Amino acid sequence: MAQPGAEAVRKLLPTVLAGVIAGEVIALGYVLLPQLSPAPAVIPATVRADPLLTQELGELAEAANTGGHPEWMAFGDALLGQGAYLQAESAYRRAVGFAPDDIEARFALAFCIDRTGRMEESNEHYRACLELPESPGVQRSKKPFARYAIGRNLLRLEDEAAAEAAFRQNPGFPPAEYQLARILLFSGRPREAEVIVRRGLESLPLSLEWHRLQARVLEALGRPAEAAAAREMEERSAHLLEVNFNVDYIGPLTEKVGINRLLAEYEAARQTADAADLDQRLRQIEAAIGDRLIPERFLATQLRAELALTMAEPEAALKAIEAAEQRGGAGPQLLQLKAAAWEQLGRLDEATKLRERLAAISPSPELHRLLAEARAAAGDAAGQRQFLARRERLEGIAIYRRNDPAGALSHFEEATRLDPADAASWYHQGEMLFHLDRAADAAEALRRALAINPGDGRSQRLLAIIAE
Amino acid sequence: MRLLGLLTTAVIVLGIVVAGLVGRLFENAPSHVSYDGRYLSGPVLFRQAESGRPRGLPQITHVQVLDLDDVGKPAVVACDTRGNRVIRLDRDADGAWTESVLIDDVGVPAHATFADVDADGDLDCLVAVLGDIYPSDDAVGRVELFRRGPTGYSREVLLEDVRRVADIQAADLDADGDTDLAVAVFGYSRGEILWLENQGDGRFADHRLHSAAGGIHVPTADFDGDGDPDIAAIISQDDEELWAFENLGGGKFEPRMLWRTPNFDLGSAGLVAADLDRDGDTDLILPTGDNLEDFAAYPQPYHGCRWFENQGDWTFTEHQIAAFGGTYAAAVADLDSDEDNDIVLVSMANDWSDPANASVVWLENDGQQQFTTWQVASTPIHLVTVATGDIDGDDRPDIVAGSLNLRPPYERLGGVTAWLNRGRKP
Repeated sequence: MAQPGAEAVRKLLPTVLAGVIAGEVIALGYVLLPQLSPAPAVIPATVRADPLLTQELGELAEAANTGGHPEWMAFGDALLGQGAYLQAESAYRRAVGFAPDDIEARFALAFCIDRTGRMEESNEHYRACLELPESPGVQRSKKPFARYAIGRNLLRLEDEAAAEAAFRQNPGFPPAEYQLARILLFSGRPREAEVIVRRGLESLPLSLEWHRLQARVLEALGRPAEAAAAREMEERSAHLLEVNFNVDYIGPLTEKVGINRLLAEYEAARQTADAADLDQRLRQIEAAIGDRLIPERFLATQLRAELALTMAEPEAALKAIEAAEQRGGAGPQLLQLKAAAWEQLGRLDEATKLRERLAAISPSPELHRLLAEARAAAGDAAGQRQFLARRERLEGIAIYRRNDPAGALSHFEEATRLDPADAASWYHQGEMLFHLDRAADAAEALRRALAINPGDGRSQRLLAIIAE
Repeated sequence: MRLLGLLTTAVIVLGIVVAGLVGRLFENAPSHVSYDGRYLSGPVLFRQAESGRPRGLPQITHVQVLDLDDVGKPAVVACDTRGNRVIRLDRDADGAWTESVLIDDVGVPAHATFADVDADGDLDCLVAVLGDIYPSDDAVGRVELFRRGPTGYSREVLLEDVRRVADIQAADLDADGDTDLAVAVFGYSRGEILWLENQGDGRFADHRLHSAAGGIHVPTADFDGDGDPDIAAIISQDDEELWAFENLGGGKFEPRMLWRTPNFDLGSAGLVAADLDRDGDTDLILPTGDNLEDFAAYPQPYHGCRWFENQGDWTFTEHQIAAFGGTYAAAVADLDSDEDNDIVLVSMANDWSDPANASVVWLENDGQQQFTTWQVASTPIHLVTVATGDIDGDDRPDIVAGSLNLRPPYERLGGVTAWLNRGRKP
């Protein structure tokens, strides 16, 4: 026989349990309702001044609100392309909610958290990427990047030991091997670092970072001559490792919406479209910019002036340039266009004077060619040769940077022939000859440079290397 | 009894479902939805004074306060990269500013240094020519000397065919009685630290001290107290390293790496030499918060200011003295007139989506090098350079800063802006 107290409890218990169930149902509703009727996607306040961007992001947001994973990814990508990390993060979270196995969404989420300074939380998501299947149709796997980003975040947390372990788990991924070699070097293990650097250079012989690191490793190993040679190789090594992949990752996303999309489309159309089509596209860009003071306003002015000059309408070009200048536009690009417009109008002296100013601000091979022509027209043969020599020198430098010392040499030889008093051209000629294993000729060219400019340190340094 | 059992089971099952869903919700919830970049206003009153309505999108890379004419009235000198010129701003007694062009047609000036290079008794101007504000490895940099004469400045190119030059500092580095130069060739993927030996007759010989991209500033000072000027350099591109080049005499320098961090993303943005703790030696102050390599910058937890306390014998002890998102420049002065050195910091990349977030703060020194951060202003934004000096003649150091409007949002625009120090609040 039950006690009276127990009887009371037994009577009360169903009511209590029903109350708990009611509470749980309310909690369930609290959790589920936002999922069933999601809050509107957030458009960052900082883009609201841009009507086109607001409209296009609004359309993506609307599609996301009524759609699923692809729509949230598209919205997230557009936001990330605008640098709206926090809003993009929310969008990618929704995408992950719809497709928890999608590595692209998880990686994007991790990246947003990464760039907003939450390294540990970001690493949890990067680690989750490693457990997910590869996305079909994607050419480059995200997994090496996720592993690399984990190590990178550990470096940002100044935990070199953990970072080293993370980079060791990413063999064959050059940025990770590079970071590993750096850790080894700076933790007093240059010999171990050297092995990795050598391997890196075998696979990427013209990698700037590997040569730079090699120089530091060799300095640490007390081999200064080899280190100096590695430094020389830096100059002609154009390949860059994806040490910071952020820009490569976000870059394509920046042109998905807004004025940047229109500008990218205009750039693509320039090769094929006729002037009328380009004019129409430019009008669309100008309308999208409206009265706002943004860099794209000045870029559009530049495009407008270029188009006008193509159509032999220099007055229209000048009008566009002057309007930009009144709004505070300035810079070499506008001045170059102004000079070209004056030239088309037959105001040759003014054009030349402006180009001479430009040569002090922003020299270029094309500018030197135009100034050489002006000097020739004025009967100044010496001046013409000087400008042509500078043009040859700048072109030679550009070709050398593309790792073509033989191709560059002919330009420097022409530069020194045109202007034998130009020490810089003699230096570069000597530098090319050095790289082409013509040490005696190189030394002679460097001595010519030093005869003109005895204080030219780089000629002295290279001459010392040759002497060794 | 059966009802009770059913209810109990329902409670348990429903509880598990709710717990699972709540857990899932928290898993996907942002742990951090906004960055708090605001500070309280401090004990000193500052009054903002724009130097004029900004035209276009100003790109000021360097400001300084100095008495150019040696008449006891300092002016503001600024490098205007958009206009490719160095400008001078004078403020009259009524608070009106007059702008004049000191030097025109100089290709993206990063830094202007005034020194009597030709020893004729006036201040010549050395301009670090960046050549391109955007990342570039091209040899577009130059060291240009503008000699001051009776009718203005005349130009000489001291060094060309080098990569982007970010800083020049003047000192007699080889103790031969003339002015030599320390030069930071920032470059992009490649760069170097040089010193230029003055060989007389306007000729300078360049000597490489260090090969690394990302040299921003090269302050010179007698860091080891042996009577000659040494050179410090902050490297901030691939590596984040603080170097010193000890002057051994006779034009010889011993490189010393004083500090490095594995955090490649620290964003060192400059280097200031000053005796912060007033103990008779020169310390180094490092603002950190440059993240221009990203498309869009965002404050990071390690942004702010570090003080490297000179302990002697080339030992510098690191102290993190402030956290401030996107810090780009620092200046040292006794802002509250309490006989110790305070610091002003400006931000290029705080979280500008919140208009209340600070763009200028000052760090109040309690005399023991413990610092409290106080907000000075939240507008204009995108500030990359700051200086202090008495521009209104009241014997109190004022603040001057410059805006580099390269990135969105294009709002709260400024060019050169001053904050006049009105003293301690009553």
